[in-house]
Amino acid sequence: MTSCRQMRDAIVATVRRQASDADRLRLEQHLSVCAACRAEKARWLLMEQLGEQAPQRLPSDARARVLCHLTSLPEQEDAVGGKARRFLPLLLASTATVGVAFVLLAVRGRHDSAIGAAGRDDAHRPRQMSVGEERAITVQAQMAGAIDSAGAHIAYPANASFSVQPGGRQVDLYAGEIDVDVAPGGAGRFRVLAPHFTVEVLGTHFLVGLDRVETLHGIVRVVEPSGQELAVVSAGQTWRLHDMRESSDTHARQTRESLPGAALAAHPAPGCPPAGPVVSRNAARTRRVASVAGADSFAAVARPVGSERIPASRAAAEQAIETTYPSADQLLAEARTVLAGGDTQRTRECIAGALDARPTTRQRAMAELLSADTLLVESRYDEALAAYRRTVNRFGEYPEGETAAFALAQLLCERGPPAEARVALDRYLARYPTGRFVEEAGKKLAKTPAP
Amino acid sequence: MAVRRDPEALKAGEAERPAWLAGCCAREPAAIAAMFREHCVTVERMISRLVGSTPDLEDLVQTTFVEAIRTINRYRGEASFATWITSVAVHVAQHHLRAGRLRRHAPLDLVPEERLASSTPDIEVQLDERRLSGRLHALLDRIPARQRVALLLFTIDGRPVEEVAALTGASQTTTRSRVFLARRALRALISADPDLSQMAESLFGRRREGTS
Repeated sequence: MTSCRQMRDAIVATVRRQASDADRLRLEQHLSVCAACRAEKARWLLMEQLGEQAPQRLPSDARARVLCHLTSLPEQEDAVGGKARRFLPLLLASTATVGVAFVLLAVRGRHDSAIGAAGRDDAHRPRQMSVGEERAITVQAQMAGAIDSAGAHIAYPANASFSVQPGGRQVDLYAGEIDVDVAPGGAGRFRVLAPHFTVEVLGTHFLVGLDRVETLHGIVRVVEPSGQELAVVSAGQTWRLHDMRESSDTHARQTRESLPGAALAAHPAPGCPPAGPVVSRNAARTRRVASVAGADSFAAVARPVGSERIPASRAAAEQAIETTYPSADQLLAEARTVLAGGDTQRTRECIAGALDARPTTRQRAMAELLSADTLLVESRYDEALAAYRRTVNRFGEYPEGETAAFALAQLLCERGPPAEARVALDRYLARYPTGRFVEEAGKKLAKTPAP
Repeated sequence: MAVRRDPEALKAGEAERPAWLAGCCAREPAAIAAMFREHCVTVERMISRLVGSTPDLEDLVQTTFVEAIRTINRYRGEASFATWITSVAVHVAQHHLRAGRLRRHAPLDLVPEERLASSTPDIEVQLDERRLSGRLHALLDRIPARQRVALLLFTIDGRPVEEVAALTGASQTTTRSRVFLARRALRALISADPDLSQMAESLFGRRREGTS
């Protein structure tokens, strides 16, 4: 009887495809009677799988953002010694805690409770204080004020309501608008969570309201609560939820989840690379507006704003820009309409325009599916099959992926060998057991002859 | 954390000091950019290996380089700069894992394009690979961060114990112990999930058929 210890080498060799046939046979015999070795083999297989997984890479625009941040780091000497530095955060945290406790006591003593435990307080006068790291701090301001939180300075007007989460790097905004100045080099990303979106920054100065984000310095990223990126807003740009929703509402309900690019004015941060195609696209838009509206209005739109608020004329110009040039969603909707009319050339133009308009992942899935449909309309069946396969492969988690999987099976039923059609139908049913086309797929499977 | 070497290696290491090092100490943008370009892939790869597919990769890479620049005066050339910055990345990843800030979902944007567009005929194999990786990382999340990092560096990256110890700032005995404990924990977790073992077996079988 072979011992488990002897079999360990055979397991490793088998998993790494280096075992001889004899070793494999011996191992299989052993595994049929040894549960411990079966578990060991499974562990090796899984670790091997992890090793074979391609490492995740940053896209080039993300690298550019990181590099931009690194080259703009403030000069600070690393003067504190190693051991002292180890205790420095602890010391600072303790000091901050004591400071906050002192301030809270003082505030309570004066019956002026603007800042305190969640949902408790109102502010009656401007104040300036630091936030500790142990507990959430809620501000319901009746007058303007400011607080410092983990390397960020948060100024708020009257009627603003927000809370700073423990750690000080996350702010939940409930009402009003806050002005946040985040010093670079802090621990991780600073996040402001508004009800419908989240703003993520590493070091910058920006304003956040319930429906808008304005960047005064640096770059911020606006994401959906699910993590889907909505926009990258550079210095001088303003992003509005309202504009985004308007363009979204023109579309079918199925596209509501994948919000299109936001309305931005084009002012890349000085010295920083443009953050993805949003900026370049909007820069192009601004140039177009300049050619239409004349040099004076272009100057009004393109003037860097620094720390100033955006004037009303610029807001109007942005509105004009956004209404003049269609969003990815609008272009995809048009592509669907013209494809229904059989105009495949125009469909391709619309799809290309949508892909050029910095689409979300969901919109890319729609574009892929529409491309496949276009090929089908043109009776280019082999290419259509390949396109549907590509859509399933890339966007299987999205409804478009499911549609493509069924379309693939359907096309194979009509044009391909029955065996392949059966496999495709089986896969569809296995992958989407509660899918939209389950009933139809079941019927087709019953009708497709077995090989 | 610097990796200790013998005096000969020390001299060799000092001779290999990168040209941009002095510039980085002085916070010169050009030198920082050169350092970033040279080591970005190494850092990305290490963090991705330890943390798995994460939307926080950009944050983690940035934090690594910020830390590296902040503490670059402490780099004494006793090891190659790649090793030194890898150890910074390991610490950043470890801290991230310990803080439990993982958001275990991988947007398609983050899946490498070349992998998606590969010519593998069986789409299902790729999908199964992704599902399996997701479940594996979910299991790994249940192992303490230090043990997990030691296991991944030792088993997946194939680094010797001495190097893993140097990168994680632990002794060799501690590192061996961490690897052992992580293996034991992972084995127990896998045994409790027979479905996972079946998935791995099935995937392995299909891959073997594909290669033969």
